[in-house]
Amino acid sequence: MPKATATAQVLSANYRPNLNIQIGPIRLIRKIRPMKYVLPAILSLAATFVAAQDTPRAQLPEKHFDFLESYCLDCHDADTSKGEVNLEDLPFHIENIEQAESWQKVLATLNSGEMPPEKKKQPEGAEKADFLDELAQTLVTARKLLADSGGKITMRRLNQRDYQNSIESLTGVRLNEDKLPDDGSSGDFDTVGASLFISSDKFEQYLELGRHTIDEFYERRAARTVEPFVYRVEPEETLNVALREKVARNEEYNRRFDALDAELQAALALPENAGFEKLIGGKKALSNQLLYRKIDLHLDKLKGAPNPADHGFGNFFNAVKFYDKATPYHKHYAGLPYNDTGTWLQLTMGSAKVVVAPPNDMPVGTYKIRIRAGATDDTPEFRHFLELGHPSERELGRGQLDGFPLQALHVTGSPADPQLIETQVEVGKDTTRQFAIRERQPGWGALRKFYFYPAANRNGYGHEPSIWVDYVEIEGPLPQGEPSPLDQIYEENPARSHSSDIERARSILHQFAVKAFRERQPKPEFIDALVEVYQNRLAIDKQFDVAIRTPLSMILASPRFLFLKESGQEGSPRALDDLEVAVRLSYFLWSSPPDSELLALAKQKQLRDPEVMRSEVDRLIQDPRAHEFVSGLAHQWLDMKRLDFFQFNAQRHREFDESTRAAAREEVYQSILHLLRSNDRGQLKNLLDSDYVIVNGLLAAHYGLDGVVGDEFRKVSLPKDSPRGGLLGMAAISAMGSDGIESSPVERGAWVLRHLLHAPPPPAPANVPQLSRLDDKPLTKRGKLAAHMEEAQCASCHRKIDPIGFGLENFDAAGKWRQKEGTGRKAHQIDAAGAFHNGPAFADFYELQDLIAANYEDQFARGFTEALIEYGLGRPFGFTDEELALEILSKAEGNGFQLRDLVQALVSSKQFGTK
Amino acid sequence: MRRNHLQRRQFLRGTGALIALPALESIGFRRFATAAPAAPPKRLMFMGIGYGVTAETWFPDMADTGSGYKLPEGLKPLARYKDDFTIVQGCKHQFSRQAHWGSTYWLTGANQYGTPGQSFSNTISADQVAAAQFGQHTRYTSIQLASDADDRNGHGPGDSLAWDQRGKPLSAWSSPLETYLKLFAADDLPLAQRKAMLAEKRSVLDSVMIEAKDMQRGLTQSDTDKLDEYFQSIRDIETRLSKAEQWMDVPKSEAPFVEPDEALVGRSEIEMMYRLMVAAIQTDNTRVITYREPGSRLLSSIGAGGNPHNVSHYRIGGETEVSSKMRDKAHSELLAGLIDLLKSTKEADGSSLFDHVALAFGSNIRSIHYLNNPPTLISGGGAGLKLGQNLVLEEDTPLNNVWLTMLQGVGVNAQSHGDSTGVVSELQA
Repeated sequence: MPKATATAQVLSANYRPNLNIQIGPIRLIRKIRPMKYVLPAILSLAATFVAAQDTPRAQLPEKHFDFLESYCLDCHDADTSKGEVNLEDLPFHIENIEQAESWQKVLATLNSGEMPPEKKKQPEGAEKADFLDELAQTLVTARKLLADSGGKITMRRLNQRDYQNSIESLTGVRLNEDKLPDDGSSGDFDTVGASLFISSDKFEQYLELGRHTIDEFYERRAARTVEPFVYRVEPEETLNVALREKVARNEEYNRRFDALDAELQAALALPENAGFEKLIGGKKALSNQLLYRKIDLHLDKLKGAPNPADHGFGNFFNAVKFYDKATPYHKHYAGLPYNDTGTWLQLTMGSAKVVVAPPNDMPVGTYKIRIRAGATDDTPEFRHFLELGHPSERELGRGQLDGFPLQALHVTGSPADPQLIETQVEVGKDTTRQFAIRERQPGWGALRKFYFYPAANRNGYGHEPSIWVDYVEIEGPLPQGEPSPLDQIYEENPARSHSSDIERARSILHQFAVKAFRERQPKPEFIDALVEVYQNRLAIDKQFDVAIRTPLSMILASPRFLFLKESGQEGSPRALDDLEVAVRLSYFLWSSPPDSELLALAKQKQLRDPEVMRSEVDRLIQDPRAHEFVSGLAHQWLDMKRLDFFQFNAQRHREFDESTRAAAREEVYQSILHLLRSNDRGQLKNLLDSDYVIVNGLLAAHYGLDGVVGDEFRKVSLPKDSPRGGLLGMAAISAMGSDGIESSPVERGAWVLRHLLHAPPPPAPANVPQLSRLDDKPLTKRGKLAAHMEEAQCASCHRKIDPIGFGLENFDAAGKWRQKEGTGRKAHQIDAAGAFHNGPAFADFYELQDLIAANYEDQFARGFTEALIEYGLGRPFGFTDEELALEILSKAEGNGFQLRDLVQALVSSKQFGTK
Repeated sequence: MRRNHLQRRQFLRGTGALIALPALESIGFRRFATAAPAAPPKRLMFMGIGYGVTAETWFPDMADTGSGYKLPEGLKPLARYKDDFTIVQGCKHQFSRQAHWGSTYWLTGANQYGTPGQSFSNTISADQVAAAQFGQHTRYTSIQLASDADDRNGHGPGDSLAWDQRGKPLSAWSSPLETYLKLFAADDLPLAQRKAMLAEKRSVLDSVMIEAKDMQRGLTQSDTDKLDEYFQSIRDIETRLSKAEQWMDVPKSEAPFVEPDEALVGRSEIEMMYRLMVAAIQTDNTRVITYREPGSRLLSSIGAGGNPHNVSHYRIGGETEVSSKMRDKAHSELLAGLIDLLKSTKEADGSSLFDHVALAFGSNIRSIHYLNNPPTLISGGGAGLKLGQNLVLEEDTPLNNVWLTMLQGVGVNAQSHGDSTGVVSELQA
């Protein structure tokens, strides 16, 4: 084998984040765009802040009394009170749940069109829309006010992320995400203790997972002394042989079929068989497939019918059944160059994946996978990526994997000058001990239906070859890293180190409990009880190393591990002690327990020193574990669960496969992480607009950016006219604002209002009559949604939502830039022009983005800060937190709201250090 | 998923790993354990579908009330049982506002903002009211079924249709295979060993309770409430263990059919769940059962395009309307299949299971974003209800009145449920 020509660093297994952003050359070219409509920042920071400092009230402006008087009080005044509804006495200042309910009913009956009754005077459009708008907003305020935690931080159960990381940091075992107990979905963040429930089945899951952890921990210990192995697959020895055999088999088959068919066609051509066509169902039935499927039943009516047995077929049906239409496809691949030393991967059928199934035992641990491969320049860049995963159980000669691919790998060499790709995978207790690579792809069925046959019509065989693989190799298990705390406990308590096994068990259990409880001492009776369980188990299990697993796993289901306890007293807040601060900080920024450095500082009581705290926050942010904070926060702040709602339609969006989805998600995280770790260029406004993106090779190909090679995310400067840069240009945001088929201007507009402009529309109301008048009309999306403006109930929100959504229409559902929507007759030029409700107009996406970046920086920072507070303190952001939000913002304002400054400001706040 | 099932199965068949708490619950039939009861017991079943139905073709005409009403297209597959179910119209949960939450409040009618200082709250669901009374007689106090968690679209928060006494979500078995194994997996361990394991489980619980009690010291009130959930979990398991002990020496039941394929998805999944529900009540494993049905999987399994949310916003004349109607039809066909089963299954006294069941099928969402007049189909002869009619109640009658009528009908001692204002006398036979 020739020497490796290139080595790419790649994402590690399971799309665990790549934590090292390699900063590429930074060219400071500012995008220059026409800025015709720059507004004075009407909603200045000061104005926002002052307004917020007033005592929060859910107050419907008094001017709306006119509306009530004009349209409601005729029947619903104090005297008449029709239907026992009296609106005259309903206060405009909402102070309790009952009043909120009453107003909610007013809103609902207006929304549903139930009131005012048809024969009564009706409010005109804008008037009604304004009233509905303000009432809905006031009710949102009232709900927020009435649900305010009053500054309480409820004890938090470890959420999935916390739990998974805590287990890993204690034992070295990484549990599968899909096994973890659910966090529920009440709409609060997953750090909000009040919304994290525990129930008996969760407790049982914790016990089960604890046992799983300890069992795998033992496997990891045993694996330490195992000799690593290397296993290599040379696909030309298997796949190519099979392909050649298949081609030979098919050709022989086809020869026989063709001979049979020639005889059949000759028979059909006989004049005496003229009526036969009609007999079997008309001209259409003469197409080969149908003819062969039907003819066996009517053979006696065909003069001079050939005998299939003469050609080795049982009957006509069988002859056609096994006819392989993909023969030219296979033949083409079998005849390609470089087939003596490697294999060209086929996209569908045949040599679709290279399976690596080592005959060796594979102990748990980390393994290295090496792939030597190259791609041809004849195919587009998006076809230069491999997917690594586990092969599906049902081997069908297709590219199927079991579940989603684990990683996508950029192939940058060529068959003549191949490249060595190296990556790592984790093998746990339950991991399938087989791996496979294939060319990246959406679902197999769609690929065949929408791409294979059109390609075959074009080139005579099918998918053009793109990636050639020399070999795939697996090596491992690799040496394990630092011993885990539990490993260390075992080192400190080797066999025969104590007066008896019971004492050894007691020592191990005690030390492990202290670690699991984050340096808090367990109650001695608890350890006694664990030792008793150990003894009972010993009677059954006979061996120390088996019997001890039960009590060890119980520690992982006990409350002091599962809950982050901070003692306190309702109504009289107290400062956290150093250890509590350390725990809060590490679960905030790492979703993990504190490391030894943080614990040491806590023990020396140095964490209350602001300078020490500051440098610790900086250290934690630079640590790879900070990715947990960024992904946990961003996913919830930006409502990213929508990214996983839909499977993308492969016919329309061939390139939006699972690898693109994963990379698009990671782009959001990496962009935020990049800001968080920056010393002086970490301003939040970079998320509104920037002259760079943080992408990997795969996303760069998606965006049409050249020269980005490899799978690590890095900073890439943008050409001047690029629509990318900032959240609005990210594929993830476009995709979330779609249903996997089409873009949704409503979803996107509402998202922008919620997350960028900090002006969330109220929740979609129930019982608003749906617009169906225009359903049958061949209108554009814009035409259909125009009807939103006709009904006041719709217009009250959609006049704000829709224009922004249409401004983003140049991004299709997959986030690709487009000028036109639709195909063929329905195609039309996209018109992104519009205007903010009661605000400036924009001619296209660029102007829309400029307006948002120029006018909403403060609001954006405000929205982020609220999310940060909810995430960091673990309580829904409420009016209680107004002051805190102001304090954080004013501290970070000087440097333009740098992410790190915002985080530092929260950590240094009184609230962060108080229970 | 696949691997998980397999593990769970080995686990249940299993060797007695300590951690397999639920696995230890031995299976048995009360009627074999004690003398056969004089009359078959009453049972309750609730099936929630999340996003609603196609309003134009599922609901009978509001003006065409009573028993002679014309069956609409969406209910056609139920034609042979027209006399055996009633469509109740005009109801509503007054506090329900979340247009995408078809299940969270369906059986409770609670106010999301009912607890000051909290952004989410709920109250006990109708099934659990019944379970509190019926549960003592059976192996499982109640059974909750759901589809895998990722198919929650349209149902809203919660782990099943059921919410406990304190308004906390109750978890569910999430696949036919899991349900089958919980109900019928053989427990091959000798009795003595099972007893020893039960004892060990108790000691596990006792041990963590020591810690929990110790931890209670110095907590704020709201944290104490939080920790109470943990205590409650332990108590729930203890109750279950006591039941397991009580049922330990009851002879094993025979599974009424072979183990379901673990790959059942959508329509075939629901069909199998219905079979299992019937098997569970027939064998008196429980008398109260709820099922939160899958949405997107049903659509894809019947070849209907679109996702549940898009389909719920069907446009007349559009592709989504076709899908929406296909879904309704599948639901009605499945329901007819369930009634088939209930009717053909005989009780010990020769009567049919159908005569002793009260069931409700529907959602809190009518269709699209409408929460008034949600689809409500009532069937079963167990609650003395007047079946075979299109019952149109006064507008905005609390849906809880219907649940209360069902509860009282099967003999539950409840004077009210949620915001109920009384029973629906028109529904009573």
